[in-house]
Amino acid sequence: MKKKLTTLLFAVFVSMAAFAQNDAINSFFKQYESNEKFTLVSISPKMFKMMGKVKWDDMDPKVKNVISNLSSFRMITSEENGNLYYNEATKKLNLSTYEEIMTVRDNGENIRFFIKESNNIVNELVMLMGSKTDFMLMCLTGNIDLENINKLGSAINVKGMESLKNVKPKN
Amino acid sequence: MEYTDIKILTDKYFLSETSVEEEKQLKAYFSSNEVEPELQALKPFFCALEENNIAIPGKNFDEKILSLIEEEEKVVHKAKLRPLLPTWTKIAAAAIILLLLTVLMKQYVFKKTSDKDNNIIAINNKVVPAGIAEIKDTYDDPEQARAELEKALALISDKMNKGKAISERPISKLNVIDKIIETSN
Repeated sequence: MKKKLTTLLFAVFVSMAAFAQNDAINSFFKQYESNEKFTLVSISPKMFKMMGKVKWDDMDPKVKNVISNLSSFRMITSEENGNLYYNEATKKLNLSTYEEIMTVRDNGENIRFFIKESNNIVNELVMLMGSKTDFMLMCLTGNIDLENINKLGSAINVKGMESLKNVKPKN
Repeated sequence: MEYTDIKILTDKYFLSETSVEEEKQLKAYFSSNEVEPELQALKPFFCALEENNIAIPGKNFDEKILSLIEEEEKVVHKAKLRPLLPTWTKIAAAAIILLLLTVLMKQYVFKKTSDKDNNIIAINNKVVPAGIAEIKDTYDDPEQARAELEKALALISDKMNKGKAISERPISKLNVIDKIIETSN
């Protein structure tokens, strides 16, 4: 009887795990954040709050609108083995729990966009990009308006935009 | 014994008047080889009687009978031991109960706040996945953070638009085909 009870409990917990939440992205970031071949950029909710308080002279109102509704930002990039990490991310990130909204394959570059939404509001946007050399995973959370983001294009000063990797994090 | 004596005895026998002793005498006489010709006809009859041994149960008779009975009883018992609900039904029932339990748990235990169900908590009145609260800032300076963020947003915007542009290309080709069909008709 005891044996039956323990197997029952075990089975319940296992099936609970199946319903468990998706922490795969967190784990992925944690896994590579200390790896020197990767560049990691994180902006916490607190920082977003701070940014909201600054009086920016030169910020386009469209940009301001988008940023003020964001809660967090995380990005990890690599300049080597792009496709390798891209494939790894595809497997590990439990992306089936997200809704894929766009896939672009162009010039040897794979780009995928995913969202998570509740109550008709997109609260998470994930961008996964991989090419022969480069890999990038980006996660945005908050109150995301895809239309507004699409329209941002020209509103941002795009100086040296291709080289996001060149930004040196302040330690 | 003399023929006449035997003759008297056989007559007595057929009248059921012989004693056991006399019957024995008859049997002995007829088993021997000195049967008178006139009595030869009766020989098979009286010899057969000799052979009628009364069966007396041997020593193990009781045990043998009992064991036969017990065998039968065992067979009957075995037949009755078949379970009412075969094993597979029990397993199936257990699995269904398990499933129900987990679904119920998901409903009521994990859905205390419906936000928790989506791994979401509120920070600064904005909706945030629970793992986000632990983010360590890469920059201490909002300026740098903003710069980085804008670049990222621009990239997202750029790639999304690129995707849209590419997806619109085939449609314009279809339009061309349409026109060709139109003009050729």
